Amino acid sequence: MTRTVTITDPSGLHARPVSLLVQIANRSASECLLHFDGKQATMKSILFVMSLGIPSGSTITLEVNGDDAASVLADMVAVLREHRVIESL
Amino acid sequence: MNHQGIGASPGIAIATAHVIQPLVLTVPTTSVEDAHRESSRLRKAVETAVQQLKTIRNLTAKRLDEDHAMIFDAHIQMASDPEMLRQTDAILATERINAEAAYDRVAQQFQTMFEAMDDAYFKERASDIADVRQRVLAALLGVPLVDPATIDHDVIVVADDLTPSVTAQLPRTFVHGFVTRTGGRTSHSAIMARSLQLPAVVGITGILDHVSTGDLLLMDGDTGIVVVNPTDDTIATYRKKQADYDAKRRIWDTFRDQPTITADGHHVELAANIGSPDDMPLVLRQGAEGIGLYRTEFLYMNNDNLPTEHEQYQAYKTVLEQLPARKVVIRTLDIGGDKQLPYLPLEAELNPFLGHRALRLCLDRTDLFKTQLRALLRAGVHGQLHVMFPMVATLEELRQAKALLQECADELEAEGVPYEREVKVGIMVEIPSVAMLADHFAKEVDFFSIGTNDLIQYTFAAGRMNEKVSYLYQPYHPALLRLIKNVIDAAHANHIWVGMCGEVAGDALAAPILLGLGLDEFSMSAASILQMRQLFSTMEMEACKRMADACLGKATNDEVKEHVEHFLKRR
Repeated sequence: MTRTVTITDPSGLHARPVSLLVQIANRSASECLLHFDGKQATMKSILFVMSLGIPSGSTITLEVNGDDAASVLADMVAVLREHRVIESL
Repeated sequence: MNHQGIGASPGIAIATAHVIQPLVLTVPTTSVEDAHRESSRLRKAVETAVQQLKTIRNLTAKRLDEDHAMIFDAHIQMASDPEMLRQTDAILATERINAEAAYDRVAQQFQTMFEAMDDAYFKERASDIADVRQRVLAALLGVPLVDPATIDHDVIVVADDLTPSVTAQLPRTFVHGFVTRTGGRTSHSAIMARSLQLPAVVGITGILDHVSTGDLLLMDGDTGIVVVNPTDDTIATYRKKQADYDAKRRIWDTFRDQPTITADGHHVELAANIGSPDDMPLVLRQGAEGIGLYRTEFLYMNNDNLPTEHEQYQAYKTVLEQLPARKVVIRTLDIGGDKQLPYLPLEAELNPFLGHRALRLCLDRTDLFKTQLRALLRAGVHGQLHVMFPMVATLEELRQAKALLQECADELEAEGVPYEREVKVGIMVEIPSVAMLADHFAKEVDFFSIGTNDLIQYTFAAGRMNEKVSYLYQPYHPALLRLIKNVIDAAHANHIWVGMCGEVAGDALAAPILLGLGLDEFSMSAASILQMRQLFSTMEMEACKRMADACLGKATNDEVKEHVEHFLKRR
């Protein structure tokens, strides 16, 4: 399952929300990937995701493969919205 | 001997030095038979590191707050990062070397990657990785990590650098301050020190060569001075300074969360003048009721090139969101005159103070101006933004500036970028033409802020930087007072507020006059706010009104001064 979002936070995807996303990813047994600009990173690795240095205005795709894909994605989008990293839809 | 560093967190401390030697870990590279065993060793070391970090995290959450504790959540994730482990395992399998060497290499790669990033925020994460790397390596090598929790007597900690994890563990009962060789005001440790209200001095190169554990140290976190083995006289002087200050602070502290009210119930606002977001901690500690002037020149001056819209937006947002319920007045670019920019060559003028500067420059260089206006409008959603134009001389200039602001708003609207629609717009009143015609200007703005520094210059035709004529800087002069009265009366007749952000606003002798004339807001250096609030609590508005009236009838600066001094003594 995938979800595509645009990062509107002028700081880009910075450490606080990344840390929360990584927490969610690590609580799940599913594979969690973040796609950006032709690259992909496993969301279980804070270093990998942060090293992508995702700036403001970027479009990223969250991909979760597994039984709990729907709830994991919902949690992740909720976190991003709560921290105003993406716009509320 | 006196050493000079950067005062990172205020306060005086006198105690024995406790020197934390930099931990130098030697990482050997050896061949091994059993790659699996190395992999297990690494995982055990990571587990140890994670446990230590969890303890520190909980300690920090208790001693400080969740926000600071979250740094360690990220550290925990870095320590157990699956990508880091996967890469290390790969090296172990192919090269059959020890876990220390393999892990060190991978950690270094990540560290280097972050150090190379342009974004300052991500660049700083490299030191988080370094901290975690050291912890895991120490666990692997069986080297005990510095455990500041074992400090059991009154000390000042001296170190090369203090990692966030060490700073968080400093036992407050025994550690009275810290001094580091490296670092600046915005490093993690400095920020934590200010939150902990622990005196700190950073950036003293060579300090470790001059201090040994056991030496008596005296440190002043305001001035950044550190004295090794001070004389009894020096100690006595600083102890007195500390005691005096503590006594005053205790009184002033009682005024922190109070509104500013006179003895007879009249309310005014005391706000702070700032130059950058770094000034905010003191502003908040001093209970400022708003920001009366955010000088944006520093964004332009501390740079190699024009600050981008994004950079500006970030700075303004940072200030606005720290005082979301209070007004924040941000002044548009005020360069030229004595403030020059190396990357923006302006034609040399015979008289730069009376020349093409500030708003005049901005109305000419609309590219520059609109970048700033856009950043302001966008940041405005985060708080109570008040945009203020400096050096306005005529209504046409004001209207032009407002039109450009509207243009920016329209553009942002069309681009679908969020911005503040209800932004308040005001002007500095510093040119006599505006002070005289204040009734007209008051109809076209939301507020005035009187800039006495320049108003006095222009009124007495004397440069404030010129020693020969500095005697003409006469802040209590009746001519100035009459101009001020005109401005205040015009503002109130048109139902707008009027404040003052020049140096006179923070002048205790001028305070009763300005109060009596009806000034609504006094914006000053944050450090003066609490004592001014205490001063206002002793004044009576009605008496000040009568006294101010009398001052308006005087003929010289000295006559007014005498009158006020007499008034204050008589109370």
